[in-house]
Amino acid sequence: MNIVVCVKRVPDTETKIKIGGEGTKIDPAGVEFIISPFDEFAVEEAIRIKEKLGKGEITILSLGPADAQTIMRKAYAMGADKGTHLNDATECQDTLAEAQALAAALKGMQFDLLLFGKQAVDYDNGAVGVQVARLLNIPVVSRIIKLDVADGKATVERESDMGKEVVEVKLPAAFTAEKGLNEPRYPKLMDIMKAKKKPLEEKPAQLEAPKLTIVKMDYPPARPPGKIVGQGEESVPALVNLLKNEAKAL
Amino acid sequence: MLPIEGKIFLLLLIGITVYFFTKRAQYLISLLKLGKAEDRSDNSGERLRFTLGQVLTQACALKNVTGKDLAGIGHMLLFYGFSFFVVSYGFHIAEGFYEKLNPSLFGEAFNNGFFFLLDLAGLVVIVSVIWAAIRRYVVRPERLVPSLEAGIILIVVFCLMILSFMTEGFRFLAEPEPFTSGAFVGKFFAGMLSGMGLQAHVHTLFMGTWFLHMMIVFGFGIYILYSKHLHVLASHPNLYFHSTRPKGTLQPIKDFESAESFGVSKVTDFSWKQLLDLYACTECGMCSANCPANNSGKPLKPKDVIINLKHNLFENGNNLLTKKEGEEEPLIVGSVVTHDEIWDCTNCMACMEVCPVAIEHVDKLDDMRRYLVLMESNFPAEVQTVFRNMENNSNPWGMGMATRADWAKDLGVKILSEAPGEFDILFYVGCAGSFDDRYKKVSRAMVKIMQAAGINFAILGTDEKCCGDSARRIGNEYLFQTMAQENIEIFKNYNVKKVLATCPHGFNVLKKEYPQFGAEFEVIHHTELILDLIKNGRIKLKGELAKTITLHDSCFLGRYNDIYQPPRQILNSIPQAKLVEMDRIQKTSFCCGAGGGRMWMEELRGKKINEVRTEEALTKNPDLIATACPFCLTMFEDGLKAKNADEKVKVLDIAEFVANHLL
Ligand code: SF4
Ligand code: SF4
Repeated sequence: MNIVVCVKRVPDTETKIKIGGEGTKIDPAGVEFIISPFDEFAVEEAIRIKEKLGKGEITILSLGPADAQTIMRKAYAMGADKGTHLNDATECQDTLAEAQALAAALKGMQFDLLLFGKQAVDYDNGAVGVQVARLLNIPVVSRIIKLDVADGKATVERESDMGKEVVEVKLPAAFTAEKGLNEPRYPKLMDIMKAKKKPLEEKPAQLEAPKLTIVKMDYPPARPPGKIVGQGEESVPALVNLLKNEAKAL
Repeated sequence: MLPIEGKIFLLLLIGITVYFFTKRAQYLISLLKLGKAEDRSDNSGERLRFTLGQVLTQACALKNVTGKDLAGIGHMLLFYGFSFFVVSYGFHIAEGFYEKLNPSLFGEAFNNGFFFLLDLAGLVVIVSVIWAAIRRYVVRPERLVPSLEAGIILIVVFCLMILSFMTEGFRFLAEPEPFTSGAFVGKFFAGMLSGMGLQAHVHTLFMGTWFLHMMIVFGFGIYILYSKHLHVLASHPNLYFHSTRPKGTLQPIKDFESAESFGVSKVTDFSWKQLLDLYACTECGMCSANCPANNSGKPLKPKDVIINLKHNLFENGNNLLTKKEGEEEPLIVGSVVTHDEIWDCTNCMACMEVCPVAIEHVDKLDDMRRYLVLMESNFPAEVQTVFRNMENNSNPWGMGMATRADWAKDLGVKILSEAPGEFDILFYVGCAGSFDDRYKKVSRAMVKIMQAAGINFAILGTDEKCCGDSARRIGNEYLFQTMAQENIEIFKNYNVKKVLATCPHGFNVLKKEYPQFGAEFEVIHHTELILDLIKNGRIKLKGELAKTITLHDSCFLGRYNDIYQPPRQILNSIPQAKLVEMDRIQKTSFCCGAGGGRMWMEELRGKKINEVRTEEALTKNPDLIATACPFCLTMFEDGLKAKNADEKVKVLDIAEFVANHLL
């Protein structure tokens, strides 16, 4: 079983985001970049499948600037075998252009499973995985919480507003991982050491001119400070009044 | 003294004894050699002084004598008494071979004095053996577990003494000239025996008891090496090879790149010294008696860890010695020492502090943690988040690292990451001081104090990183070393010469463990600094605090760094403050439960340690509890809440007491 997992480097979720790049980009100074948490579920799932089957190869594919390789090594430490870095110094923000670049790279690869996180927690578009699958003309199930493979087929579960869906898909197919799929492991030190020596190929990303560009970023408006209405029972009417008339929550 | 047949028999006895003794000793040494190399050859003079000092004064045995536990007084008597006997056996053996060795060799006066002391020693030994028996079988402290071996030894020693007096008695009757006038107990026995109508056989009886006596002595010499009384011999080298590293420091892993395994999972992963520890254990149980895990009903009992490892080593010894290259060796982690035991340890070091023979429990447990974390990635689930948080945001809570210095906004503090400048003291705030809402108040109190004293200090701001203590103590040595190196680099860049820390964990690791990686700066704790400021008159305290205060000694401040007095002296310098001590203080202080990374783990087994300690504090009816550690502070506040006492009793850091009373 050959598995390709696409991962993206994103700012740590606790980062205080500062806008840089003439108001159109995140200022990377002082930002700790991590592997996007949903992508990490995808990596973990790939490793579990490989461990279960006792064979297979896991390839990591990442599109991003030079330091994307740091998070690729993290995926290696978890258990991935090799990978390709599609270098993009421009930090493209157009999901379709990114999907095309990834699809182009994937065309030369053999795989049964193609895994993504359901979205990268930077711009939260949640589009790339599905777009890549469309471009490659393979089936895709998004936001899965369970994945079983057997006999050239995958049985997956996903949660939707109406309840749980169970879907059977013929491989090769693409899936995007939702929280709940698994608990990613903490790598063993030996694996961290080995990760440093695993092969990592670097190629320039073949990006078309983006059809979508960010014109301007802004901070969300500062939240008004909280209000202490009073203490004890006597303050209840005042609170109800505020909730009704000011907050319009009731 | 002996006829020729007797001499031959004595020679034979000696030969047999030497043979079995050497054989067993060689076996014990070959087992030690299975352990990993560890250099303990430094400071031989100091080591020798320490060992002789401990053994000759019996400081080792007496160190735990308290109002509640008379441990060691009996041991001291037995030791002195029996040592005198051991010397006398040399004398007896020599006497066996040479005619008229006494009284002519050393003169009559010596002879009389010697036998007087010997008889006295015999009486002392008898008294102490009876005392030991009473303490094991009648008024037993919980830590002493009566065992068959202990019983045998006591009976043998007792019989040996009686036999020795009988031998003397028969000798008085058998020899025409009394061999000495000093052996007063022997004479008493002679008086008793003479009335029993044995006159015709006294010579035979003398020889018989003499040989029986000797045989028991030789047998005892061999038995020692097979029994728990191995400590009689092994404790001396163990004291000699005691750790001379700064107290409580863990050893760094040096070869991450090339090592094939990390930590300890098999008995031969221990160093020879860690194995020697196992031989040296006296089974006194002092360690377990002081262990917070054991005292809160958890499975960890440090004595049992040591004893179980020892038994396991002996059980597998032969297999290990004959094991072929590539053959698997049984794991001790998860079987001989369970995961629960390994994770329950708070690294409080109470066990090591009280152990009479300098056994290093914490190193062993933390080495096993290293194996579990680094090799197996097997640890309590909640710890993974902590590691991640430390990696990504350089603090265990996982707060955004850009907010690290937010607590200091508007305080007029020099923040180096914003504006580098000159300073005398770097205030290393630590993660709790930066992110924990309660402990931020202590950071502010410290700023207030230093500003009042006119100290030129600075903080690193967002360039400050987590010290890594929790990572190291949980066993993630790799993460710890990455963090330590990063910090040392930052400190160097800012040319830091002197560091102030409020958190004893940061204080301890910066001061004593960072030098392992090339750190060269002075580190002081805030209680030391504050006391200095008070003494030099740089700060003055006003107002009164007519309250009852009880003080909790943090393990990493107290046992790890022997800082016991500064917090007490500071409290005593606040007018009217009344300090009431808890029962377990200073060296035997009872941990709050948060050390060794336990701060970040669920406490699933037994009672909650912090509640046990809070209950103890509450028996003193304090108005306030004083601490000097963020973890202790949290543990007490939680403990008070659990005991519904948080309205009545408050917990304050020493810095807050002072900041509240600044002139
Ligand atoms: S360090 Fe403390 S908790 Fe750990 S075994 Fe020793 S006494 Fe018990
Ligand atoms: S380890 Fe030390 S304190 Fe514990 S039982 Fe053995 S000798 Fe006593």
